Amino acid sequence: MFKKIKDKRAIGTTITIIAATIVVGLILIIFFIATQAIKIRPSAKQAKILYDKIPSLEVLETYLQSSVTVMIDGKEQEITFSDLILLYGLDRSYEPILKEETEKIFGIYGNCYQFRIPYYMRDRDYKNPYYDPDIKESGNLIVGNTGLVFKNYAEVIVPVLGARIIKTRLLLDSECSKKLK
Amino acid sequence: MLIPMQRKNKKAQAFAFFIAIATVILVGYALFTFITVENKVSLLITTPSGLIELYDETDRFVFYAKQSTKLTSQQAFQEIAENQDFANCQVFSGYMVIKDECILSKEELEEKFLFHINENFIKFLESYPDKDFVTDYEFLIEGDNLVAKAEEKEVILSPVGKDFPHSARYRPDFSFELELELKPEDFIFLYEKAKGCKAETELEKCMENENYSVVVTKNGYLFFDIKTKKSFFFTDEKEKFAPIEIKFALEK
Repeated sequence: MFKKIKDKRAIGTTITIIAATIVVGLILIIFFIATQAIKIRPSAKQAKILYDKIPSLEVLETYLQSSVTVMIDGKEQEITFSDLILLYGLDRSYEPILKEETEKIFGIYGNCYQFRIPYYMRDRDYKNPYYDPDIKESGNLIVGNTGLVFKNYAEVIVPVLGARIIKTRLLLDSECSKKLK
Repeated sequence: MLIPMQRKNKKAQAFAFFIAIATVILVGYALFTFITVENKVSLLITTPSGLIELYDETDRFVFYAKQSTKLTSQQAFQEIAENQDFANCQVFSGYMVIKDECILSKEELEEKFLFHINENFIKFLESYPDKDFVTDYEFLIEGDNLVAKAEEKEVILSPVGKDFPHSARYRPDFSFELELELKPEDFIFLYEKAKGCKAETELEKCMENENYSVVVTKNGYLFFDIKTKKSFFFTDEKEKFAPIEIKFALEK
């Protein structure tokens, strides 16, 4: 077959068409990659396999939804820790019980955790609901080991009456993470 | 001389055409494979920590939305109890007067309840710091549950360092259900109970309920002061954690 095609023009045309097709194909590939970004859906099997919550976030969420019995107006009432934090937002007299009960929950981790509510929400009349990093955190409500370097913590935002927010943070250090495993 | 050349060219053109078609098919196949494999590779290898962060963000937002819904449902119940604004019903000294023409319908109560939830929930959404995750909700009451159906939201992510080297679209599901502690139909139940207890001598015993405490006073009217046994978060003149009060009055 190749013996018969000795015409240089025909070979040239063939090479040109192939080259043009490859160029068009490459342009199409680049176009598709640029415009069609990767789609990630929660239902994707691969994504589900990979998904595993950061342990401290899971611990913090579980804590916030756990029940605690509190004396309110002389009557015992079972509420969640997130409700107790809201109560603490309304009335500072709930600070000791919040600290005490939180210590009971996280006590199983010994000295390797720190739970904290940033300073700015300690003033319930504070109007700006957003965290301001310039506000010094010396007034934080802190439970646990205050000596831990507080970075890479899990954070959950709890809504408060008046559509304000409280940020709750939990740091579990490597020792805690080992205990979780 | 000219005729054999033409024949040779025709063969060459047919060959070129065949090669071109084959190339198009190959390029198409390569394109298809590249796009699908690219997705899998991105999901499986290059973006695990980015994905985990996305799922955590979704979790955090759903937690916030759930808590906000809990608070707004308590506020909605309080506002209905306080306003007592029902068709054909009168209010006397802050007490809703029980009369035959005053009929509380489930539909009207649920409509008011959902209206107050929507009204307050929007304010909570506005307070959420990460606006990329904020989406609209439609609330429905199904049995004892409040169903929050989230509008489909596409979060577009920009490439972030090594963790997330691609731009991506993420469609999280923010919908959830919440069991209602305070149900709008409790108003109907308590209203009908007060009506039915009218003839009883021991009114408070007649009104006894596991979720509500009732005090009845007689002063021309029978005044029913009904309070939730549990405290709830709501705002009237100020922010409170207190029992919610429902007040009915019945002409003797």
